[in-house]
Amino acid sequence: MKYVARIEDKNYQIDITEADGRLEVKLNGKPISVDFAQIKPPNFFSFLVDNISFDVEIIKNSESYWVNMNGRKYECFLEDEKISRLKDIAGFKKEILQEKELKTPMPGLVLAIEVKEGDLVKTGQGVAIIEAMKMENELKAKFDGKVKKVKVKPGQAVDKDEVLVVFE
Amino acid sequence: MFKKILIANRGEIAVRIIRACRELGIKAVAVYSEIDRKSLHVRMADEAYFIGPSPSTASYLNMEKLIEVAKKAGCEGIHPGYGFLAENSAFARKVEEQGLVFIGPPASAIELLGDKMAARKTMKKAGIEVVPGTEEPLETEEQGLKIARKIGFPILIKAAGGGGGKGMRVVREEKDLKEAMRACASEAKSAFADARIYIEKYLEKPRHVEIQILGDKFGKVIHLGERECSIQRRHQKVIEESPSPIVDEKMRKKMGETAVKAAKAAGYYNAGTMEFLVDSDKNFYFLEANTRLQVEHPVTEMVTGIDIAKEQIRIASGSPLSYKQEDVSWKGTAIECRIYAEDPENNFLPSTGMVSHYEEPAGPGIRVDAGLYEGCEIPIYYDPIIGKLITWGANRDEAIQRMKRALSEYHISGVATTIPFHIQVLDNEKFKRGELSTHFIQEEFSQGLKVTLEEDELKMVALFAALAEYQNKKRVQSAFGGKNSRVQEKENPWKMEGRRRGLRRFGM
Repeated sequence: MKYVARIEDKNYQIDITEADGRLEVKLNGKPISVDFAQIKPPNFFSFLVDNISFDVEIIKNSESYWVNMNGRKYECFLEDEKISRLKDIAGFKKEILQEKELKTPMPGLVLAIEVKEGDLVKTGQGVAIIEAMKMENELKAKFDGKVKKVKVKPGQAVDKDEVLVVFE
Repeated sequence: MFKKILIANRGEIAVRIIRACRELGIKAVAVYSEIDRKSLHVRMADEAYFIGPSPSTASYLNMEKLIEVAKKAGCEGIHPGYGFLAENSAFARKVEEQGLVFIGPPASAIELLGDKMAARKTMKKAGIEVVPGTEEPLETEEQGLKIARKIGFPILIKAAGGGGGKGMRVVREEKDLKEAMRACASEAKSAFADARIYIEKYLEKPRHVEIQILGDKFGKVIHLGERECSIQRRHQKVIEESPSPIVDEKMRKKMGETAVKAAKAAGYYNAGTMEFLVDSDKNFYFLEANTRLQVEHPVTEMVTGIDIAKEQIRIASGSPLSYKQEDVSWKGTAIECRIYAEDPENNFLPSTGMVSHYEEPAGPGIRVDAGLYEGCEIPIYYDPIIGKLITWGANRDEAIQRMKRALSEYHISGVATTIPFHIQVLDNEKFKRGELSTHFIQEEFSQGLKVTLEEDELKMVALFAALAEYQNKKRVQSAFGGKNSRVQEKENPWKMEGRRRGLRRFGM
C-alpha cells in the first residue's frame, strides 16, 4: 500500500507491504525498520523505528489523523497514492480546508457577538466572546470574509463545535 | 485535634486537604455540585454531601448550605481551600458564629487585608515599605493628577476591592489618566461593588516574590522563606519556585522579618502569604496579602519539609506552632508548573471534556497534586487549574531538568493542557539563567507557543499516521470478510494463531 502523507505543506511517501507476516516499510523510497505495538487500544502505540523508541497517541478524525508525540500534536492528512496521482492528473488543486464558519472550540456562554450580518471581517479580528471556566475568551476570525449570518445571541449557552457565525 | 472537618472546595486542592486529614487521622468530609459527583475529591473523601447545581454560586459559594452540611455531618471545622470562599470574611465570621472553626485566619484579618487601601495604611503604620502611592481613595481627577505627577508616570490605577489581576490599569501618560480613572472606577463598581480607586507607582519589570508565613492563635508567627512567582500570564501565576534565584540568606531574613511584622500588624494567624514586588535594585515593597493556603504552597513544603496544610489544621484546632523560626531551614530548589486545561496552541482557550488517557510522572523528586483520573470530566464551571507538577532538585538546574523529564512523562489526553507550553518555557535561556520578571511571558512568548516543525519529527509523524491507517484498513477488511475473516478463524484456529504470532512480531 502506498500513501501520501501531508503535514502543513510538506508531503511524504510511505510504502507499506506485507511479506510472510512481516511489514516492509519505505519512507520517501528508503527502507526503514519499524516495529510497533499497541499499548492501550485504540490510540496508544509504541514504535521502534531503527530501534529508536517513540511513545505516540494517534487519533483518527473524519478527514485526518492527530498524532501526539513528545508533548506536541500534529495533524496529518493521508491519501492513497493512486487517488493522489489521479487528482493531480485531473488538475485537482490540493484542497485547503476552507472554513466558512466560526465554531466555538469549547462549551460556554455567549457574552457578545462583535460583528453583524454584512460586516467585512479581517483575519485576527475579534468575532465573539465566550465565557467558560470563569474567563472571557475572544474568538478571532481565521480568515477574511463577509458575515452572512449570526447564529447565536448574547446570553445563549453553546455547545462545543456549535456554529456561531457563518461567512460568505 | 479535630476528629472530622469539612472541605468547602473541589478539584486538586480538595484532594490535597483530604491527604492532610488522612495523615492526621481526621475524617474528611467532601461536598459536591451536580457535575462533580464523580470527581476525585468525592471518591477520596470519607463522606460526601451534595450541595447544589453546578454553577459555583449555587453550590461551592452557598455559605448557608455549607455550614448546614458541616453541622449535619458532625464536623468541627471548615477548610475553605483557595478560591471560592477562602478569602470571604463574612463566611469566616458565619462559620465561627455557628460554633465551627474556620481553618484559616480570623475574619478581622481577612477583612483588613482584603481591602487593599486599608492594608497599605496598616503596613505603612507598622513601618513596612509599600509600593509608592496613595492610602486614601481618589476623590477627584485633579487630585489623581497631582499625585501621579508627584510619584511620576507610569502609574497604576487600582481598585480597593480588586484582586487576582482584575480592576487594574496602567497609565503611561498624563493625557490618559482621566479616562483610566473613570473606567477603573466604573469597572470596580460593577465587579466588586466598590468604586474606590487608588494610585500606585508602576514598577517596570518587577519580580514577584512572596513570603509564606505561619502563625498560631497565641501570637507566635514564623516565616518559611520566599517563593518567586514572576512567571505569569495575564496576571495569573504559571510557574513558581523556591528559593528565588535573586534572594540570598540576608535578603530572605530581611523579607521574612518584614512579613512576620506585617502579619502581626494585621492580627493574623494560620497560614498566609505576604506578596512583595522587587525592583532591579532588590528593593522590596509590600504589595498585598493572600489570606489563604496558596496554590503554590507545595514548593515551600518541598524545600522546608514542613506540611503547611497539616500545620493549618493543627493551628486551627488550637495547637501551638510545631516549629520555631530557628527550626526552619531550606534545602535545594523546588519548582511548580501549574497544569491548566487550556490550549496553548489555540490562544490558551479553555479546554473541557473527558480525560481519555492519564499517566502521571514518577521517580525521584516528583510530586503531583491533581484532581484527575482516566475517565474524569473537566467541567466548564470552575477554575481551569487541573493539577500541579512539582519537582525538587539539589539545585535549580537539577530541579529544571527534573521538571522537563517529568513533563515529558505526564500524559493527559482528551483535553488540551499547558504541558507543551511549560516545556518551552523551561528551555528558554533567560528562564534557565533565572532572569525573571512579571513581563517574562509577554516578552518571550508574545505569540504563545512557538511552533517549530522539525523535519525529522514530521517524517516520523507521517510514518506513524500511515501505519495507523494501514492497520485500520486491515481491521475493517477482516471484519467484513477479507482473507483474515473471522469465519476462517473458526475453521482453522491453528493457522490463525500462527498468523497472529507472525503479526505479533510487529504488534497487531
